[in-house]
Amino acid sequence: MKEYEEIQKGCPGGGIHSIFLDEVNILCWKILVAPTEYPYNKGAFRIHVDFTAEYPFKPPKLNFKTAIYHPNVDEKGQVCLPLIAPENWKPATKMEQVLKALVTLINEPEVEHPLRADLAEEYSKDKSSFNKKAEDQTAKYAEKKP
Amino acid sequence: MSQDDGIEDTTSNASDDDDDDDDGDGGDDYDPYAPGLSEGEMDSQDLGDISPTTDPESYNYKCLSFSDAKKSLESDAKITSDKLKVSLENVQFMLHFYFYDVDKLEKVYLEDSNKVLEETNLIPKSNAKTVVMPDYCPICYDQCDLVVFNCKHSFCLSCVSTHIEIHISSGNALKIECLQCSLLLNRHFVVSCIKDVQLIDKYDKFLLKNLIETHPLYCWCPGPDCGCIVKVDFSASKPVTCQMCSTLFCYICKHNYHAPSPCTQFKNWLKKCQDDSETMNYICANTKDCPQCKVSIEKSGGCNHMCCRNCHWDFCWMCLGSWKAHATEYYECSKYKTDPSIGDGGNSARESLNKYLHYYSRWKNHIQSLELEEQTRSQINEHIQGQIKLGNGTWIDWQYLLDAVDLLLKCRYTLKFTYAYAYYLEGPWKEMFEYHQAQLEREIENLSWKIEHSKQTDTVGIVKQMNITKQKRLTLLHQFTSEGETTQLKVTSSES
Repeated sequence: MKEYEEIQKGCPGGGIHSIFLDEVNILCWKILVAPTEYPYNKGAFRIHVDFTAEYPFKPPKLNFKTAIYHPNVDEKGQVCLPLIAPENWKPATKMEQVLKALVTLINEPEVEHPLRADLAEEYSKDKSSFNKKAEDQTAKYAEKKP
Repeated sequence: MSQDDGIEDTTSNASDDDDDDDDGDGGDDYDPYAPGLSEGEMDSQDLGDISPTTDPESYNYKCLSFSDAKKSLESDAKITSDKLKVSLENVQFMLHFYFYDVDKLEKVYLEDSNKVLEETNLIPKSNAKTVVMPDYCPICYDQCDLVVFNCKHSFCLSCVSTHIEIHISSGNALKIECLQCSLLLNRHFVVSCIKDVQLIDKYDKFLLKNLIETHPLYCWCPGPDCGCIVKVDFSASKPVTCQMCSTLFCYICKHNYHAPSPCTQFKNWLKKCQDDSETMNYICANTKDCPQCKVSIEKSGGCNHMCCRNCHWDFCWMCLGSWKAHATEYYECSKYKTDPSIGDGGNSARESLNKYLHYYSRWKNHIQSLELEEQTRSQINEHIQGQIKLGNGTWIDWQYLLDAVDLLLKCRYTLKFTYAYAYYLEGPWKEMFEYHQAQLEREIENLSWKIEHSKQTDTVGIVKQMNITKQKRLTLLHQFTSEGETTQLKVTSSES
């Protein structure tokens, strides 16, 4: 675990997110993701990464603390990321890969496996309406870009 | 059809066995007189046109213990293993991957063995990147001796065993992969990594469990706490009676055996009963249709003067007549009237509700009758024991009566499911079915009456009635279960 922190500190993932570590509870990482792609590029989203005691043999859990209008993130902030699904999880997967996959997912929604089917439908059928709502919500809820 | 081979895993004919589900009430005296004796004779003598080969309920299966099932699975795989010259263990993985389609596996394997091995993740993918072996474990970053897999990924032994342990304790034994790629770890390797004997035991159990759960010809007995494994010759919606716990179930859906209803239909029916029964009962008890516009109205207050919100018609809740006439003579409504003007067409929701309730109430009713007949069975058992004590004949003389109750239970059981089936039927086929259903019901009631009055009825009378009832039941099943579906097609096409 300790080694992980160092790795993450050594190369903060591509300049698009910053990672804050709680010194008391290293099993929870607080992350700020600032997507590069429209319609989410106007703000930054706070995400918590919770590690189980069995990590890395069991996958970490991702949770959006900032509301986001996105087909793969539900109202409770749960994310559907195949890489960290229990049946796909590989202990050798690094957090860097997980976070990269997360940013990719935010930038390019996966409408094939949505958590919010209504948003996925809107995304594929009426993209301009989707983009408008997503942009509005980003402006409303997201934090300022660091 | 006699099954007195005395071998533990006898192949049994289900139609002989499926009245065992009432076992337990009958006491210990019941089992030694296996139903095979009397029924076997009758089947050959009296059923004439329905021979055992066309009996829609005949089904060959075996009940196996854990170790027998393991042996049986291995001997199945052994044939393929010899043919393809692959280790037994790998063949089991491959068969699992190919859904036990042996012919397909053999064909594909002989064409391109590497492709199959890659597909099933038994060997590393040929297009995988070459791995640079680090000198530390990529999981815990410890610099220690590393275990190297076939895919050249390497980890320390402690991380590998934790990984394996976590998979085993979550019930997965079949698909334990490399910590980095999807290469499967075989049993030999897994066992070499874990020291704990109990864990190895657990692993073997889960491995067999995983294999059986996906195998089309094996299943676990659904009986509570029964660890018995059932092996069948072919997969079909047929009755299986577990030889360990006597649970009677349908091989396909593992629910109670439900002939003549097909599995999906029966499942829908059960779901419907669960979903709807409460709501339906409430609707029935607390709502009526507006006599004018047929909208369903729930009575929420005590007053019988109703005003329909839909059509503003004033009417009386009791007699559904116009309220105007009630201004002076209200109490006339307390007189009993049969079937007031509800249901005279128009409201399809009410109609479908009535249709459902028609079948549901009969279904419910037969469940109750079945419970009552169980009581009859134990009463008769007591009666017989009393007679024997008095010196009136021996067990053999009274056996026919117990057989008769068993047959009665079996027929009522089938009759119960005919209502679930009839609910989904349409058209001329339904008329035919209901004709047979009514016939069976009549004979069952006859039999039931004769059994209840067994003191007056002679043996011959009961045995005769038994034969008639038995034949009616088999005819119905024969015509309306999957084998009968071809007949159904013929009938519908000739009538259309």
